[in-house]
Parts: sequence; structure tokens; C-alpha cells
Amino acid sequence: MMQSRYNLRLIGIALFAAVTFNAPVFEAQEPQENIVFFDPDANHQKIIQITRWFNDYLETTPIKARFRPVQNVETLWKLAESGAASYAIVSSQYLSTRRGRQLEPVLVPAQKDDVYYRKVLVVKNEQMAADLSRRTIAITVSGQEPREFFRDTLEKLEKKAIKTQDTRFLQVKKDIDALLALAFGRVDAAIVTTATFGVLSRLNPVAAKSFHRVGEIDKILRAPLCAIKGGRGGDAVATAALVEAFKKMAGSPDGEKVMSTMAIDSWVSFKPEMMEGAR
Amino acid sequence: MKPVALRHRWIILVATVALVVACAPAFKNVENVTPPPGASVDLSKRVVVLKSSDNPIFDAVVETYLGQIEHPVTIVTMNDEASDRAIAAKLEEHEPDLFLALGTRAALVVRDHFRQVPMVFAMVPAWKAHRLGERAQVAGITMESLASFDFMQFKLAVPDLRRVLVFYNPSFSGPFVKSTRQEVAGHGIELSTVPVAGATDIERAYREYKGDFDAVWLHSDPTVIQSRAFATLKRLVDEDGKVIISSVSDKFAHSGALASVSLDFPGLGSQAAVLTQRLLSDEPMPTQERIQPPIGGFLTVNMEAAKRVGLTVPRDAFPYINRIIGEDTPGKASEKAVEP
Repeated sequence: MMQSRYNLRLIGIALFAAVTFNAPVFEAQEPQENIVFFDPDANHQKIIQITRWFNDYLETTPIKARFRPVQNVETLWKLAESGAASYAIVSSQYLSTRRGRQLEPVLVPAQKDDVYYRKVLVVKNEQMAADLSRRTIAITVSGQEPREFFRDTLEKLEKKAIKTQDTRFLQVKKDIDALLALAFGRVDAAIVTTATFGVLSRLNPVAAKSFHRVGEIDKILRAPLCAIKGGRGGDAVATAALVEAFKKMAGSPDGEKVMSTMAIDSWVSFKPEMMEGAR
Repeated sequence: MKPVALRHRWIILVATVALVVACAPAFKNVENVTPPPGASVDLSKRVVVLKSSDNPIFDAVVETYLGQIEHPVTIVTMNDEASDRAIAAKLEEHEPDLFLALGTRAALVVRDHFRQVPMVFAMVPAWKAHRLGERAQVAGITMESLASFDFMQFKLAVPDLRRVLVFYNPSFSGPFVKSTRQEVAGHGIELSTVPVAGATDIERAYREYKGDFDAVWLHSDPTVIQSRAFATLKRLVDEDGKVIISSVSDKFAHSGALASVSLDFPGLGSQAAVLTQRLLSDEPMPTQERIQPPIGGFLTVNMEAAKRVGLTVPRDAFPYINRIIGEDTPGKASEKAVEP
């Protein structure tokens, strides 16, 4: 009798211990989504800041997710293929690549309801609007190897009937540098996003008024949030929760700072037709 | 008179040093970069990138440069121990059509030994003193940015920036400050200039200055940018609820200045590539285009410093700030950004 009571007590202790000590293990095993982010053009410090704000924001939402920037696209693919990442925010140009097929765009960032970066050619001297031969254009390079990017840009200029014999490109870090270089006569033209004009008008209204916008040269779909097929990104419930959290981002101080730094003000649902005519 | 043995020792020492210098390899490293497929330029023209040392700061310039240049390029790192003559002799073997000289020593070797070869120089602080701009075949990028350019960047963070105070030592930067005052006036900046004799003179000069101002501007005057002078200025502007802006280095923004605009090294590489393309195509260039200030700048903004004076950095400026330090939200921990 004593022995059986002792055995029962032992079993009780063992059960209690099992429940108690396993509880945190179960909690730790609760899935956490990794949202990998790759922006070839953002500098490290800026990414650190965005990461901190992004994760601070995610902590205020019911979803368990971490924003995780990577330094090169190869790392992004490896994380996606190994199942270590469920979602990715990556330049839309990668969607059309072979490995990009594993990405399912879900949301696209927008500014004033526009899901594209629109780049326009700006000149100071109107005569150059048709002929940029042996001239220098200031531009930011995004998502591509510079020489390839420059070749593509020259093709776009030629499609607009602009002469580009021996046209040179000056790479700058930010669009405002390109406009300032033009304002100070350091280059002959600049290709910048339309949003940069508003900022220049504030900094240097006289210069802004002296510029001529020749036309839209490029239309790039902003980097979408994509679910990674085959992993937890394929889970419709988890994706719906993430989508809801992203759509509410602008309502939080940290979320708002992330969005300001990324020059966006909302996330909208992706539609396949958004890819048409865009890079 | 020295004993014979001692004299011999000196001779041996001098001879050994001479032998070491003579035998030292001219280059620390040589790397050939083949042109990319589909290059659209004359591939018979060769470029030599000459680095004064293996300082990694040069590599950031070279990386962007190579991303744009389609000619065959040889990258050479000079050996500190080799003589300039030995380096020049070895460089001749590469038969360069143009040099990109990075740093003072590289620029001087090219200036003195390759008078007929075009050169683009960058990262040479005293280029005027070295008379680098005298030859028509020489182009270059100065270390000093255009003050108006920097002030436009500062205005991203401080839209109402108008009255700026600058301390300077006339023996170092008198003419520069005078010309800058005129230059920035055209862009709506009223620059009040206060001469100082030395770092210890700054507090007196600050307290005697009776005008109002929005910010104190630091530029590359060795008297004003030394740490003691900065500490004094920081204490004084903090007491008055003002801010410091810097055109020197982002370390000042990390130390409490509101904003800094510093050199963007990859940008220098692209600028050097454009100058290379122009020289190699024999395009005539006026002097002001041959020797030019850096285009673009690395803007760092310290949100803690902004918060201290109740300044709100406009949200539409955020995408154009290269580096943001600290937090501007009350109650949030102030955490400085660090490299990953």
C-alpha cells in the first residue's frame, strides 16, 4: 500500500515536472515568421534604424514575426529555400527571375495611392531635352549592376527619341543629390522620382522652378511584401494576419517612422496587372 | 673625429637601408580587371588605378569606379617602403593611358613621373599646394564640398535654417570663409563669421557675439574641429538651446551635433569615372569642370540633438537622410546606431 502511494506520488511529480518544464519549450516553439528584407541600395545604418522600428512595431501586433534584413540577395534565396524565412520584401525586379517564382506578392507599398516609383528626366537647359549626347546625367542606381542599369536607362531615353551618343552617368546615393548636382551645374540632367521635386521646392524653390521635366523615363513597382511558397508563407491564416498588421502600420508611431523612411504611406493588396508596364 | 669602427657602422646602416629600399617591391598588390563583355569603348586604352596605400577607404572609391569603367583596368597598391622612382619604373610597364590616383603620394608620383599621361586624382587634401590642377590633362575631385550643397542638405533636417554662425582661424581658412559667406548668401543663408586665434579663444568669442543665430557650422578649420574646441562649442550651444552642424565628418553628429555632411566615398568613384570618360574621349574641359568638388554627400542626422532643442525633422526628409542616429520619440531609449 505504502509502495503504491509512493509510486503514485512519483508519477504525480513526474507529470507535474513534465508539464512545468515542457511549457516554455512549447511556448518557444510557437512559430515566428521571418520577414527577410533586401534592398541593395539602402545603407547599413538606415537599415538598422528601419529594422529597429519595424520590430518595435511588430511587437505591438498579435503576430509573431521579425523583420530581418539581409546583405545580399543570395542570402535571401537561401533563407527562402531552407524554410527559415516565410515572407520577403524585395525589389519587384526579382519577381521575374527563376528563383523569384517562389515569391507570391501579397502587398505593395504605396505613396498617395501610387504603387510605383516614377522617375522623370529633368534638365535645366530645355535644348538638352532632346539631345543628351556627351552629357552627364545624375541618377541613383537601384536593384541592378550599374552598367546594365545604365544600358537599360539609355534604351528608355532612346525610346523617348532622346539622343544618347556617349552619354555618361553619375551615380548618387539619393535623388536629392542628383537634383542638387543639377541645380549647382555639376551635371546636365538628372533622373529622379517625382516626390523629390516637392522636397527640392522646399530647399531651393528658385532651382526647382528653373528645371524642365522632360517626361517619365521609368516606372518601378515598389518592393512588395511576398509570401514564400512552400513554407509558412503558404499558410493563408498566418498571411492574412500579417497583411492586417501591415495595413495598420501607419497608425503606430514606429510603423509610421518605418513608412516615412521608406517614402510610403500605405500598403495595398497586390494585383497581377500592377506588373504590366513596370520594371 | 669618430672612431673608424663607428663610422663603418653608419655606412653599413645607410647601405642596408638603401638596399632595403632598392630591393623593396614597388607594389603591395597588383590586380588586373578585364573589361566586361559588350564594352562599347576603345579597349586599347588602359587605365591604372594607383592607390597610395592599402587603406580600405580607397576601396570604396575603386568599387564604384570599376562598376562604370569599361576599359581594361589595373589596380596597383603602392608599397610604403619602395621609392617613388622604383614605383614609377614599374608603373611604366603597364603602359597606362590614364591614371586614377588615390591619395597624395599616388598623385605626386604621377605628377612627377608621367607628365604626358592624363590623370584623375581624388582624396588629395592639399591639391592646390601640390599644383595638381596646372596641367590640362589632369582632372580631380577636391576634398572640400561646396558649402551651398551642404547647406541644402542641412535644410532637409532644419527647414528654417537661415542664420548660421561660423568660427574660424583667419590664418587657416580666412579666404575660404569669406568666399563661402558670399556663396551661401545666394541660397538664403546668412553666415556670420567670427575669427578666433585658437581653440581656447572660442568661449570668449562665443560669449562676445551678440547676434542671433540658428546653428553653429563646423568646417575643416583645424582650430575649430579639434576635440577640445568642439567640446567647448557643444557646451555653449547646449546652454543656449542651439545646435551644431558639420561639414567635416559624421563623428561630430555622433558626438552631439545635429547634422553632418561628410564625403560619400562610393560617389567619388562614380565622379572619377565620369572624369575618366571625359579625359579618355579627349573632350575639352574648362578648369572649373576639371577640378570639381564632390557631388553628393553623406547626411547624418542626430535625432537626440533635434529633440533637445524641440526641433522636428520633417518626415518627408527621412528618405533623403543617409544615417539617422538616436530616437526622436519621447520616452524611447536612446540607442545609437551601430554597424551590423
